[in-house]
Parts: sequence; C-alpha cells; structure tokens
Amino acid sequence: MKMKFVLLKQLIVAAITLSLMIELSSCGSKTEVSVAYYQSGKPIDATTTGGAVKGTMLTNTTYRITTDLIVNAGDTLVIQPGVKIYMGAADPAKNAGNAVTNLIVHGTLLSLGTKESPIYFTVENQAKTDVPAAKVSDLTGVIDPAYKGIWGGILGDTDTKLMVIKWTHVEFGCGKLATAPVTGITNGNPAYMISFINPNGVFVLEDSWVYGGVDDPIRLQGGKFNVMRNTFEKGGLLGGESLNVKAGCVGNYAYNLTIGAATNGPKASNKGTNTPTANVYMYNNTIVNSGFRRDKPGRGGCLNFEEGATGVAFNNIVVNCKYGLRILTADKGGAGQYSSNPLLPAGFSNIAYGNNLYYADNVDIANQIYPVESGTGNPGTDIPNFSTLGITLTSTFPMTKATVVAYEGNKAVKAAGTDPLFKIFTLAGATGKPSDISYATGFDFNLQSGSPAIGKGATSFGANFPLLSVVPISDNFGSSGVTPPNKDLGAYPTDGSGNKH
Amino acid sequence: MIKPLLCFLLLLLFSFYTKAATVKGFIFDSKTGEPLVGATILLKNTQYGTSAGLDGSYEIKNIPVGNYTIVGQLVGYIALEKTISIKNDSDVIIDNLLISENISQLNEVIVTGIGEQESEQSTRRSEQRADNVLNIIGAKAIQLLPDITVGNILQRVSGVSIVRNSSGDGQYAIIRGMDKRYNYTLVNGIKIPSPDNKNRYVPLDIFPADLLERLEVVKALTPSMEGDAIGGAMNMIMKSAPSTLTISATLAGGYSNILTSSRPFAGFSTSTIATKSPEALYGPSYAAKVNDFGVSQLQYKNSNMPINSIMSFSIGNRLLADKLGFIVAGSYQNIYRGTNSIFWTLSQPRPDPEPNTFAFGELQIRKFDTQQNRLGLHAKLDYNFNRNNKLSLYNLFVKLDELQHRNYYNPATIVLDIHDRSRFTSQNIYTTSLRGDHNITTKLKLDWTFAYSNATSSTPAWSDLNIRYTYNNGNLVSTELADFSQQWNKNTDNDKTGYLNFNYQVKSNFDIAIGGFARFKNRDNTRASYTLDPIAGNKYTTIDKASYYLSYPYTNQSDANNYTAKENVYAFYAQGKYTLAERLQLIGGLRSENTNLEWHSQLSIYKSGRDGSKIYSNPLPSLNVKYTLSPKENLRLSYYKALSRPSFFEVIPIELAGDNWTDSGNPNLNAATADNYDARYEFFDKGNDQLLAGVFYKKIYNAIEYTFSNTSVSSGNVSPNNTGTATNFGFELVVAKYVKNFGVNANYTYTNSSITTQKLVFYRVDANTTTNRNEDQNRPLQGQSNHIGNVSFVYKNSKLGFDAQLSFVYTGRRINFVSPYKDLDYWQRDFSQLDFSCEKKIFKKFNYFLKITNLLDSPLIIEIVHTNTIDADQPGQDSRKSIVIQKDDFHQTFLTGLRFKL
Repeated sequence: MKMKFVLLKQLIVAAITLSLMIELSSCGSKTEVSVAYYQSGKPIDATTTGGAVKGTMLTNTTYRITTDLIVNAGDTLVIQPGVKIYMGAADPAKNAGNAVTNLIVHGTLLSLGTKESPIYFTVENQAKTDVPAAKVSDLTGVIDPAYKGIWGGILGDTDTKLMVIKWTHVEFGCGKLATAPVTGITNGNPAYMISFINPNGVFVLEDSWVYGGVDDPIRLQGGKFNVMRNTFEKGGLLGGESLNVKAGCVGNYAYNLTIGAATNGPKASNKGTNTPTANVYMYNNTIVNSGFRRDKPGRGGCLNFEEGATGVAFNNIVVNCKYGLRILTADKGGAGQYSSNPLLPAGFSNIAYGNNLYYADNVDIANQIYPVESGTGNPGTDIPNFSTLGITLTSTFPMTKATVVAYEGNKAVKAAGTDPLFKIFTLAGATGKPSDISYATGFDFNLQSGSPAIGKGATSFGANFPLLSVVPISDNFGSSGVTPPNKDLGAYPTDGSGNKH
Repeated sequence: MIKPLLCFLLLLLFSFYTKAATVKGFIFDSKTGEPLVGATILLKNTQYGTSAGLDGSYEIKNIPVGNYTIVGQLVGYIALEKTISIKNDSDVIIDNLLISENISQLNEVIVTGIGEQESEQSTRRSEQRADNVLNIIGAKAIQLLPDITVGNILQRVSGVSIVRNSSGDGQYAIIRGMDKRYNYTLVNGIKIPSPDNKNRYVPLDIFPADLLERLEVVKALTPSMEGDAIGGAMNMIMKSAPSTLTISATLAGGYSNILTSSRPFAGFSTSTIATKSPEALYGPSYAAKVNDFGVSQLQYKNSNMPINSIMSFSIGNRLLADKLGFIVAGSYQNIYRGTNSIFWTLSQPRPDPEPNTFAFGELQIRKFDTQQNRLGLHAKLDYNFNRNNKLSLYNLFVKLDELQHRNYYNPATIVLDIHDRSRFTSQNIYTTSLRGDHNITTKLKLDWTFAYSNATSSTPAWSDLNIRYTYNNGNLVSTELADFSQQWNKNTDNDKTGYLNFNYQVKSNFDIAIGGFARFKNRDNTRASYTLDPIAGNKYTTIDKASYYLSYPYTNQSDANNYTAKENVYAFYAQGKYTLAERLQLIGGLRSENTNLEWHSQLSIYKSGRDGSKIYSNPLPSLNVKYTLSPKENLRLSYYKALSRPSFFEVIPIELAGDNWTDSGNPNLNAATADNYDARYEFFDKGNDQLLAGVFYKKIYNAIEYTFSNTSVSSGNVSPNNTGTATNFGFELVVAKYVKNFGVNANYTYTNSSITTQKLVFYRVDANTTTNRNEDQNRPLQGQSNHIGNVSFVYKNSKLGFDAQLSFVYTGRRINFVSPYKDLDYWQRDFSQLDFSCEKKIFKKFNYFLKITNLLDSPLIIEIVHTNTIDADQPGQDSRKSIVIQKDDFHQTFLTGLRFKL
C-alpha cells in the first residue's frame, strides 16, 4: 500500500514537471526583420546631388548627381527643358555597393525637353569619339567611352506608373551594377540605360537620343509603350538592342534611327511570366550598320521576333546590317541549332511583315537578308525582290555547320534600286566595314528625291493588325502623337511626319 | 569481368569435402544462446581446428582415432575445454559448446569502450536491446562492404537511400523518403555542424569508412535525443579503445575504369592558387587588377590511369591496470573519379501544343574529373578513476579536398562554346568533446559533455572560363575568350555545446532522466566574385597568354552572401523509463527546444532583411513502447514529435544564382514540425538471423519546399516556403538469414508521401493570347522513392579465412528536383547498383581484399515525365514517354589491398 502511494507521489511530481515544461516551452515564435530604409522625397533644389527627391528640375539648370537619385512611389520628378543632369561616379559605400549612379523611379518621371532646349542625362566633360573606324577596345579594355558604362541608368521598378521622356539625350550609361537597386536587373550585370518593368505602367520615349551602352540601351519587361522618332547610336558593347521587349509589353517602335547597334534595333520576345503577350509594331525605322558587335552569330542584326512574341515589321530601311528581319521559326532540338543558346520560335501566325528595303554592300550581308532560322521566306513586297533577281530560298531549316545560308546572295549585293539614297551618308562600299560608322553625327538620313524608298510603304498592316495606340496622348503625361505608317519607307518620310532629328 | 568472378565464387562454395571422423556442432553464448560467429574450435596440441560459421556451426574433419581436448574460444569469452574420444574412422561426434562472456553486458546502445562493438552479433544485440527503433551496421560488416565512405555505406541500411554527388558517390541520406533536410548527423552522439555553404545537413562523403566502429540510423526519437530528425538521425560511433593492444593498418590501391588513355583524367594543381580574394587581401575599396588573378588552376594536365590510394592506421590499448584506454587512428584516401554526362538545360515552358509543354535550353556534353583527398584523424581516450567515475576525451578531424574540373560544350552549333570550370573545395570538420560519467549514488547517475566543433568550407579562386570557337561554312574563323570569372567562398560554423544529464533510478523498474544542452553556434559566410571581361576581337591561344580586363574591379558590397549569424539552442527534457513485468518497457516524456537565431548581412540598407532574428520554441513529446513477446521477439510502438529548422541561407534574403534559377532566402520561413508514428515487430533468431517488419506514418506541418517567385525575365527566383501539410507513410522489412557459411541480408522499404504545392502553368487562352497562372500540383516529396531495397549475399569461410559479399541496391524512381513549373519535375530514374567485395587471409595477420563497385555499369538518369519533344536520336534519349535531361556514366571502380591486424 505504501509502495503504491510513493509511486503515485512520484507520478504526480513528474506530471507537474512536465506541465511546467510545456508551459515554459509554449512561448510563441517571433520573427524580426530589418526594414528597407525609406527617405521621404525632398524637394529638388540647386544643391541636389542625389537621394530621394520630388518636384521640378528647373529649366536650364545643371545638376551633378553623386548618389542614386530616387523618386519614391507616389512622387513625381518633372524635368524642364534645357536641364543638364551630369551623372557622376559614385562612392560604393554610399550607393548600395555600386560605383555608378542611377535615377531610380518608383513614382512618375516626366522628362519634358523640347527641340530647341533638349534635356541631357550625360557625363560632364565627356567627349565622344565619333570618327570612322574608331577602336572599341584595346588590350587595356574598352576605350570608346560610349561602351564604358560610366553611369547606370534610368531605372523603373514594378511599381512605376508613368515614365515620359521627350527630347532628351541619354548618354554613356549602362554601368555595371554590383547590386541591382530595382527588379529586373541581375546583380553584377550592366544596368539598362532605361529600364521599365510594370505591365500596367506607361512608357513613352519620343524624339530623344540614346547614345552608347554596354547591354540593351532600353529594356522593357512589361508596359504599354510608344517609342517613336528617336535616334539610337552605338547601342551595346558585345550585345544589346536599341529596344529589347519581353512578355507583358505592347506598343510601337517607329520612325527610329538605329545606327551601330551591337545586335538589333528592336527585338521582341515573350519570355517571362508577365501578360499580355509581347506585341510590338516595328515600322518605318531606318537601321544602319547594326549587328556586328554581337559576340554570337545568328541573333539578328536589325529587327527580331522570338520566343512567342507577336507584332508587325513593315516599311523599314535596313542598310548593311548583319541579318535581315528575323522571325525565329526554327524549333529547338533539331540536329542543327544555329546558335549555342537556341530560343523558342516567335508567335509566327500573329506577325505581319513586308515592304522592307535591304541594302547590302557585300555578299556576307546579302546572304543573310533572309536568315536561315527565320521563316518569312520571300514575302514578295521587299526591296530588292528576290524573284526578280532570280534568287530562290532553298532551305530555311535545318542546316549544318557547313551551310548557314539559305541561298547564294551574290545578286543581291548592291542590287539596282536598293541604295536608299540618304541625303548625307557614306556607305561601306566594297572594302569598308559596315561596323566602321556607328554614329549619326554629320549624316542626314532623309531621302534624296528619286530614292527607291519613296512611295513603297504600306499605310496599313491588314485587317488583323489595326494600328496600336495604347498610351495616352498628352503633352506632359503621354505621347505627343502616334505617327501612323507612311507611304515612304524609313524613319524620314518625305512628308516630314517622321523623325525630326 | 563479372563472369570469372562468379565462377571463382561458385568454385569456392562447392569445394573441400571429404569423409572421415568428424566432430561438429554449434558454439553458443552460454547466457544468451546466440551463436558465436568466428569463434575458434580446436583440438588441443594438434593441428586440427576450425572457426564457427555464420550460424555458429563448426565441423572438424579427418581426425585420427584418439582422445582429445576440444577447446572453444572467442575474444572476450572464457575459453572452454572438454575431453572427447574418437574410436572409429567413421565417427561423427556432435558436441555443442557453451562459453560465457567475461565482461559485463551492454545495456543501452551507446556503450562505453570495452567489448567488441564492431561485430555483427553485437550490432544485432544492440538493435534488440535499444530503447527505440534503429538499425545498425558494425565495423566488421563495413569492412567487408565495397564502400570506402560513410555516404556509400548508408545506402545499405534499411529505409535509407542516398543522394549522389557528381562523381556518383553517396553524399546525403534520405531516410524513409524524407529528404536530407529532415535528418541530422551525430558523431558519438554529438551533433556536428556542416561545412555546406547553404544547408545544415552534413555531406557524408567526407567521412572515411574505416574510422567507424558502427553506424546507427535512429528512426524514432526519445526525449533525450535532439529533436530535429523527422526522417531520422545518423550516429557515427567511432572506434573506441580495445581491451588489449590492437594495431591495424590498411594499404590499398585501385583505379576508376572510366579513366583511360582515350578519356584521360584532366586535372589541375592548386599549388599556386590564390587562397584569398583581392578584396580579402586589400580591402573592399581596392580596385582589383588582372595580375591579382591566377590562372594555374585552369591549366589542365592529362593522366591516363591515375592510381587511387588508400591508407589507414590504428593503434589502441588499455594501460595502467586497464584504467586508461586509448585509440588513435588515421585514414587517408586519394581518389580520382571521372563522370561523363549529358545535360539539357531547360527553358521556360511553352503554352503550345498543350499547357506547359517542356522546352529545353541547350544540350551540354559534360565531363567531370574529380580528385578527392580525404583525411580522417581520430583519437579517443578514456580514463576510469574507479567504478563510479570515468572521463573520456574524443577528437575527430576529417577533411575532404576536392579538385573538380568540369568541362562542357554544346555539340550542335556553329559556335562552339567550350566551358571549363575549376573548383577546389576544401571542407573540414573538427570536433572535440570531453565527457564525464559519474555514479553519484547507486541510484543517481550524472553525465556531462563539453563539445567544441568547427566546420569550414572554402572554395578559393573558383574559376569559370568560356572559350568560343566560331565557324563559318565549316571553317574556324575565330577563337575568343567569351566569359571568365573567379570567385572566393568561405563559410565557417562554430558550435560550442554543453550537455548535462541526470538519471535517477526511482525503483528497479523505473528511471527518471532529466537533462538538456545549450548550444552556441556562430556562422560566418563570405563571398567575393569578380568578372574578368574579354577584349573583343582578340585571338585566344592559351589562358596564360589571354588578355582580359575588369570593367568593374570590385566585389558586390551589398551582397547578402556576406553575413554573420548566431544561433543559440537551449533544450531540456524529462524522460521516464518504466518496465512492467519485465516485458513491457515504456520510455516517454517531453522535450523542449528553444531556438534563437540572429543574422547581420551586408545587404543594402535599402532592402528589407539586412538584419533579423527569429525566436521559436518547440515542445516535443514522445513515447516509445517496447513489448518483449519472447526472448527473441519485440514489438515496438512509438510516437514522437520532431522539427526541421530552416538553414541560415534559407532565412536570410540572400540571392545566389544557380544553373537555371536564382535561389533566394525567405525571412518569414518557419520551422517544419511533424508527428511521427512507428510500429515494428522484431524477431532475433539464432546467430545473426533477424526479421524486422515495421510500418510508419508521418504528418509534416509547414513542410519546406522551394517555390517560384517570378521577379523578372532575367531573374526568376526560387525560394523556400512553408507549403502546407505533407503526409508520408510506408513499411520496412529486414531479413537476415545465415546457414553455415552463407548468409543473405535483405531489406525493402515502401514509402508513399504526398504534398500539394502551387506551380506555374503557361497556357493558351485563345488564338491570340497566351498567359500563365499558378495551379495546384500533388506529388511525392522530393527524394522519396516508392520502393527501395538491398540484397547482400555473404559467404564466410573462417577456416580458409575467406569472406565474400555481393551487394545489390535498388532505388526506385524519385523526384530529384522539384520544378517550379507544373508537372515538369525532375525525376531520377530507378537505379540498381551491384558491388562485389571479398577478403582472404593470406598470412597470419594479413588479409588481402578486393572491392569492385558498379558491376552493372548503371548510369544515373534524370528525366522529365513528359512526351519527348527532343529528337529520338539525340544524346541520352531512349523513350518517347520521357525526356532524359541528364545521364551520368561512372563505370566501375576497383580497389585492392592488404589489411594488417595485430
């Protein structure tokens, strides 16, 4: 009896101990995480060198930026005509680890220059080496300042609602970001000179100049856009498109001049999870001497659609570019992938094309007017007309290492009626290299009378492709005007409705 | 290769039989009745004698007429002498010998130094007597296995399958379908930190097999055990001091037959490698220069058939009137391995023709050349002051230096990109512990341990190089440097732990134990990476003559991979052990583990999560019931609650780019917890014969799975998330049967787990619109095979001193990697491996051994179960029903050597 009592007592003690332990151990869990620093936007004044800002940069004022300039969500930065913004080198300690400065836009950016008083995002006292055959790099690295990435970029984030950039020079950007301050750029990669990534936002780039770059000068990973009447020079070092568009983007790329781009003028790809499907109308552009700094072949040299993207490609003048319009059709996995990083085909059935003019100074270029991976065939409306020249496209796919051309293009070299007759420009000729001239200064791409590009344009793209007007029309908060396709080809139609540069 | 071996085996099995006067019988332990395998039976003062077989049987033949003294003896037993007389040539005398142990019996699993803990008998007894559900492999069995690392041994244990490294060796264990994150690793019962840069689990290919006394896999926890084993715990019990002077040594050599003159080993040297990054040497504001980066690690040297070598040595004894016991052992392995691999990178799935149609990126023909330098040193000292007080000191240092050269190219292009990667990883673990055992009164016992452990991994000057060969119309037109980068990574985990346990015998059949531990863990993680930019248009010849520059000569100063963290865990428990009528044993109680984690990283102040802390507590009740049906049979029932802690890497908002995605941390991640139920029937027949049959059920709350969070086109992130509740159930069967010189050892585990997570689907809405959304997908847990099994055939002839074993492992198909895209998970195809090993006594103290792995030449295949969209004639493709995205060939390895034992 006594034994049992002792045992009972011990069991009670044990039970109390256990319940005490449960009591002690049931204190809840707790997570504490440091929050991102937030600075409220300070009004802009003449001494602004960076940080969170809002308000107006006053006309003809110069600003020198040494740390990232940030426009918070809900704030607006307005830049008046004639403002010069010198983007400087940055102290990594004060600048999120980056040695370059950026303009980071979570709110609204309105950069409203005029033809008479353009705005500049540039580097102070930085000269350009715009001479023929200027060296890009030597054994010490890149020497042409266009490709050095001296500052970062104008970088939107997923919350950026509106970015309007008109009559603005954006130059010498695309510096490497150790830490990307916004979504959409990989740590350690170069910034895009302009980046926009909100599918519900509006991006307008009109009548502006974009010069230089390390990767894409403009990268859109979501957004409604209108990119019109701009001049793109020296875009990208070893790769890069004037405008590189991904899933979630819809808009126009028209009346732009691209010269000396590493890869393409515009490129559309539906890569990514944003919606809607990438849809880009590429028309009336003049694209010259592009595609020659791309370090992998087969990736295009003027206009490009791949990975499910849709849109149109009409009325473009393509002069001495490494490849013609490329609408990627070749499927992956065949025995003959063209490039070492093959891509998915474009949304071919939702793309319309035609009425493009190609000029080729040598046979390597002429051989690639219709590249092997592109499934356009001969649309019959292009200049030159391959049927008239007697060239038949033999195969577009597959091919082997030995045959990377779809036809023998000798007859398309300097074919009659293909020189677009720009008012002032030096074609590469038989001995010169198309890559020698990658800038526009000193040239005039308006058409001489008698140009074969006059009167050859399509003024509509067919019933299935109505004109796109996806951005608001407004002097300050949208597009100055969506210019429809012209009866003349290229960015400079004779009626003067195109590029004003 | 296989055929002659089998013939040789058969020959051995059916030889040596003649008829004459014979003495035969069994030799048993007088107390337990267990047959004593390997015991010596001889006729005194004659040359007649033999050893007992696997079932304890012996037979001495051709004995002339006469009177003899028969002696039965075994180490650790008192020798028995008996007289017998043989009258006729044809006499067959049957004599069963019973001998008794001369040492005290073992009680619990974790036993002190004395006694032969390495043998098969001992492991079976330990399994039988253990308080909870576990499986054990002893050193004798390990010695005979074809495996030389702990990682490979684990695949032989019931319910365990392994995750292989790129050389094909087991690196991590999956216990009962529960992935590596749900298991922990102990050395002599002390948890050790991991040198892994991301995870808590310890890479098991670091540990050389020959330091082990036994390997235990614990599948049900008691309150006194650490609680973060939802799958199970692996406990490596290292060799302890023997009772008499014991010296042993091994010397072996071998080769991997994938490495031939046509596929030589292309290795590199680390002698001039830059051990520190420019940042570590000169500070973060230093602009790195081209000269700061070495290239010798990218200069490869071919060797046709490099020789693998293995050495080990051990010496142990008891001195000072048996008060002081010691053992010192060392092991060194230098192994060359080669892997040929086919690898398809993947791309974002297509919406057509059906939702989530698989799309691949590119084909890579890969080649791995890996040199592994493995060093293990261990020393154990114990000192018995008196019957009631004992002190032991344990030290272990293991180190694995792996030099891996990965080469790959995409064969079907006009641009031939040849990639070389040199990665030198030096990992080591050091652990030391001082333990005291004290009997304060006859009823109150106390033990304490102070343990210090350090685990480090370092990859200096990890280099990635891409050389681009461009062709035009079949002619090579340029050779250029395309990409070149170098990075330095280092992480250190430092644990200081104090344990204290009291055990009070309330009654002869009722014990109460209380105790706990406090662990202070500090972690330091650094990373510095640099991109060396090519200069366009410059012809490449060799790496030492290449030109490049740094467009950004600094490291990322806001990289959260640079962090320090500390984690303090305080655990305490109360446990009762109650035995009723000597048949029913109950062990149960409550454990509480309190975790206090904090981190400080270099992340930009403009991002959230630069610093943070997490505090959480887990009450972990458990109950183990053991019912002894008969002296040979147990029935066990158990319940325990367990947790799985996220690693530092998983809670700090770190981003680290991988092959297909960027991994990123999630500060809101919580620990997973689980209810675990087990039932097992055990039958221990004579000798080592055994039958174990069990069922288990686990319910895992807040299971941690990686899911996709798309941030942009170029940076899709996968991050760990608590994805809800998972279930896992199955059963295990272990059978061991020995007859005379033959034995069969087999186990089979069925597992079935289920979890539902959200995954991305790309689909078409109408002719013009494609889009994507998240949908639920139900699937097994990563790493869970429905069927896994092992069969080993053992032949043991003690008289000839010959042992042989043929071991077969089957691992059923399982998810190798969970894809963020619906129904596109990576599955490892079912895998069978056959290995052979044998051992023969050649002189008195020498054994010759041979180990051959992968007789069937099984490749490792990873596939996506989806209609094959890749051309059938493409490398690796063998079915229209699945897409092979990785196929690794390892071929065989051979190892042969001598073992000396005094």
